[in-house]
This record gives sequence, structure tokens and C-alpha cells, in this order.
Amino acid sequence: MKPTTILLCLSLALGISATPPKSAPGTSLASLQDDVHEITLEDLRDFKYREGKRPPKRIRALDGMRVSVTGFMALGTPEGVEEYQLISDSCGCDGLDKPNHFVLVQLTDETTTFTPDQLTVTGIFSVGEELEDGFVTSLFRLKAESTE
Amino acid sequence: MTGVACSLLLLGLALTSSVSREAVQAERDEQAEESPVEKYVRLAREGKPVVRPQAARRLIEMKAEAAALLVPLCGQNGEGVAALGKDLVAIFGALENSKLRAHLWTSLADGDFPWRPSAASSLASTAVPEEALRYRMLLDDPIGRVRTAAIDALRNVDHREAEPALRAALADQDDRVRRSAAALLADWGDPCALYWLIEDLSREDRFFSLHTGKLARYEAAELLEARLESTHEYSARKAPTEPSNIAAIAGMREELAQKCATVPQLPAVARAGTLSDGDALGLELRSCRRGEFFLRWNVSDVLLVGTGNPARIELPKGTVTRLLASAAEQLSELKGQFWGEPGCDIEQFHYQPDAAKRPRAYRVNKGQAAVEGLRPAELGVLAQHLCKTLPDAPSDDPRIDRLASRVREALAQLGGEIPAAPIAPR
Repeated sequence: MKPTTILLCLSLALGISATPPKSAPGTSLASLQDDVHEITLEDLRDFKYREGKRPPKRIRALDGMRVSVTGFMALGTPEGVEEYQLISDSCGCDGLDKPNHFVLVQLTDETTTFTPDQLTVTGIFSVGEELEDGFVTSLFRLKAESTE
Repeated sequence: MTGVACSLLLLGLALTSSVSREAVQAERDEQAEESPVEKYVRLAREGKPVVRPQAARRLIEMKAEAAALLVPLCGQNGEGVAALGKDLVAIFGALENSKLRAHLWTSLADGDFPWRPSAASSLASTAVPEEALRYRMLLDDPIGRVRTAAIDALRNVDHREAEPALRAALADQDDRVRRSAAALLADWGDPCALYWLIEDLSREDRFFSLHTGKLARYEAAELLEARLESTHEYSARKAPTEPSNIAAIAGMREELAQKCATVPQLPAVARAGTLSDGDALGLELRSCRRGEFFLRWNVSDVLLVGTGNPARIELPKGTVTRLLASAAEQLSELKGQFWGEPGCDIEQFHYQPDAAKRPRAYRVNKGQAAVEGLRPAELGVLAQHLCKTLPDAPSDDPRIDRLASRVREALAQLGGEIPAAPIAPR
């Protein structure tokens, strides 16, 4: 059962009026502003990543900005989760060896359904290592506002 | 759904949640008892994809202890190696254990082993002179990334007897192999090989959504930066037709001309590719055993074989219109766009009948084990129609030599045999 379905049932049982999930792939969730910075995954990986070392200034300058980035959902992305890795290689043949090889797309109102198609995701970009149990789990994150 | 039904559902969920909480706690207790080496092995196998290589690399510092845990997991004859995953295979060489190194060679000899590029990289990064001849043999491997690893290995053991083989690799179908060969030849004293890298700076080609030209520009620029006095502010981010990039490339050629008196004649496969408009159908095959194929059918009735500067084959008039009609019929019947599980064997159909819209991709992925009926029948029909348009004659151009037979063999390894006779979609 999808998380959205469970939430709907919880709301009904508690007597709360629920609105159906409003997002669907391909639907714009926010009107795009003029200040969307178009970036590429190739640009993001174009530096020698070392754990603990900050990315170049040109990349750090994008922190907090609205960007759009085009790529592919990483192969092996589970269904129904709220985040996925956006990678530059459709086959995923080169793997995800380094944290600067992908952008962690964080969904807000929807969950994943795997597609091998190219995607352009727009949202608020953040830069900086995130650690989990001593391991870097992401360097770039994108809070998705729309996916095309 | 009624409120009562939902309440029952919630009760069920609560019970399930209690059971799953216990399971999670049990798993946590188990993990709390594990040693660091056990933890890193677990994370390298089952952690988040981005964590796996990091966890694997930490095992390198625990060489003997890590090897002692991994050797039994590999099994007597290496039957457990594939299940360890590519990130652990990638560090086998660095653990300096003879059994693990032997497993790497055995795995490489097995065309069905899913992590052959990782095994080759592992051997290359820890290359030893006694294995030099074996690395040379890997230059004939069907997978480009294995051939690239072979060049890295030859570099690491400074095996200069391989120079003729490296010169042959300058005409390799895979651009990554050509670039690696060019860089090594330049490092071994032949600056003329750098012309192969400079040529890649002008690439703009794409294979549907894959920016093959741009990727080539980035890699070539990085290699040149380490080998030329200046790259004259060339930017791989910008198009090669930008005035600043045109000037930068001219500057690099000028610098190189002083070191290399005669500009070499680059083979057709190594020349810069341009954008190809009108590619409507594509077949991308990446088989561990049978190699890689990049095929495009253009609306101008031309078949393009390979990436970069592809081989071009004229097709009878109307061929691609007929193929597009077949594709429209078959793909409209399909439910879904992805079949199989992650692995290094991939067949992907690209469909772009309207150049103004993005292509759609339909992918069949083979994991470690062969799966009967993995490819949907509709894609089987389409593959059959596409294969009928491929030439099958012997050719001096390795890209098109017995192309139809080789593609059929690769398809058989991936999603299964393509029947010669028409098959009915299910």
C-alpha cells in the first residue's frame, strides 16, 4: 500500500477531511520563477571530490538557489520512497562511486515510481556533506518542486 | 473506503507495526554485536548505494582481518563472489590476499560474472609485473571498461612492450579506451597521441538523452590539463563552437604542433561527432559477455552504429517509417517501461518519433541470473524488426562487421533469444 493511501485512511478514520494527493509525475507543483539556474550533473562532478573538502565556489554559490537539473533516476531506486538519486548515466553503469556523482532528489508530496526516462527536476538546491553513521550519504540535494 | 474498514485496517497496521518493531530491534541488537569489519562488509553489500564504496574502502585498512572474513564468503570455487557485490569485488586486489586475487581472475574469465569491470579495476589498481601479459589480453575484452582497466594496469607496471597494442587501441570503438590509450602513449613519450584528446574537445554528439559528446569533452579536457602547459581556458561546460573554446582548441593545437611535427591522421571512429537530428529509434545493448552496441535509426533512412562519429549505413527508402509504425504498435501495448533487476546486462529501446519531444526509454535489465521470458513479447517483436535492417556481411570496420549476428547474440544473452519467425505479443 502506498504511503499516500495509508494517510488517506488515517484521516478518514479520525474524521478529518482529506484531500487527495495533489502531485503526480509530470505535474508542476510551483510556478517556475525566472531565476531558475540550469545546472548539469557533469558540471557538479567536474572537480576532485575528497571527503571533508568543500566543493568549488561556483558550486557552493548555488546553495539555497532554485535550480533545474536533468538526469536519470538511479537503477535500483525502490518504489514508494521519498527520495532518489539523480545520475547522469541512464544505464547507471558507472555506479555511484562518489557523492558528487549524483543529486539526492527529495520529494515532498509524492513518492517514487521508477522510470528509465530522462527527468528534469526543479527545486531548491543545497550543497554540503550529509553524514549518516560516519558515511557521507549526499553532497548535493534538491527539494523537488516539479518534475518533467 | 468506509470509516469501519479503515479502522480495521488501522488495527491490522498497528499489529503489524508491533511485530515489525520487534524485528527491527532484533536486527539492531545483531548489528550492535558485530565487529567493525563485519559492519563494513554488511554496509558494502547492503548499505545505501553511496555508502557501499565508502564502507568497502574502510576495509582496505583492515587488510588481513577483512580478507579472513571475505575468503570464506567467496566459496571454494568463487561461487559466492558475485553475491558480494561490485564494491567488495573492487577492493579484493587491495587486500593483498592471493585467494581473493585468484577469484578476480576467475571472475574475469566468466562472461556471466556481473561485476567484470570492477574486477578488472581492482586488478589494475594493484597491478604486478608478473601479470602483464594477462593485462594485454584484456585489451581484447568485449567490455570497454575492462579494456580501459587493462590500460591502467599496463601503465601501473610500465609494460612498454604493449605499445603496439596501445596504438591499435587508438582505433577502439569505445572512446574511453581511445582516450586512455592516447594518454598513456603520450606519457610514454609520444606527444602526437594527444591529438586524439584534442579531437574529443570538439564533440557535440548525443545518443538520445545521453550526452556522449559532452562527457567526452570533460574527460579529454581533464587528461589534457595534466599533459599540456595550458588548456587556454577551454571549458567543457560550453559548446565547442563557442568562440572562447574555438580559440582554446587552436591554442592547444599550436602548442602541440611544436612537440609533434606531423599531425597524425585520426581514424574515422576517433573523429569528432556532431549532433544528429532525426534519430527516431534506438537500441542500446550492454552485455557482459557480448559487448556494447549503440544503434540508431534516423528518419532519413540511415542506420548509425556507435557513438561519437558513428558508422553510417543507408537503408532502403521507407525503412524507418515502417519501423516507427511497428514501434508505435508494439509500444502502445506495453505496460511499464522497466523489466528485470539491477545488473550490468542492459538492453534499452529508445523511441522518439517526434524530435520536439523527449525520447522514451524501455529497459530490460538482467541481474545475476538468467530469467526466462524477461523481455516482454512486444519488445521482442520490435527487436526482431530492428535486427532485420542490420547488415550481416563481414567488414573491415569492427563496428559493422557481422553486425546482425552479433546483435542477435547480445540480445540472446540479455533478454533472451529473438525468434527468427514473427512472434505474437502476449
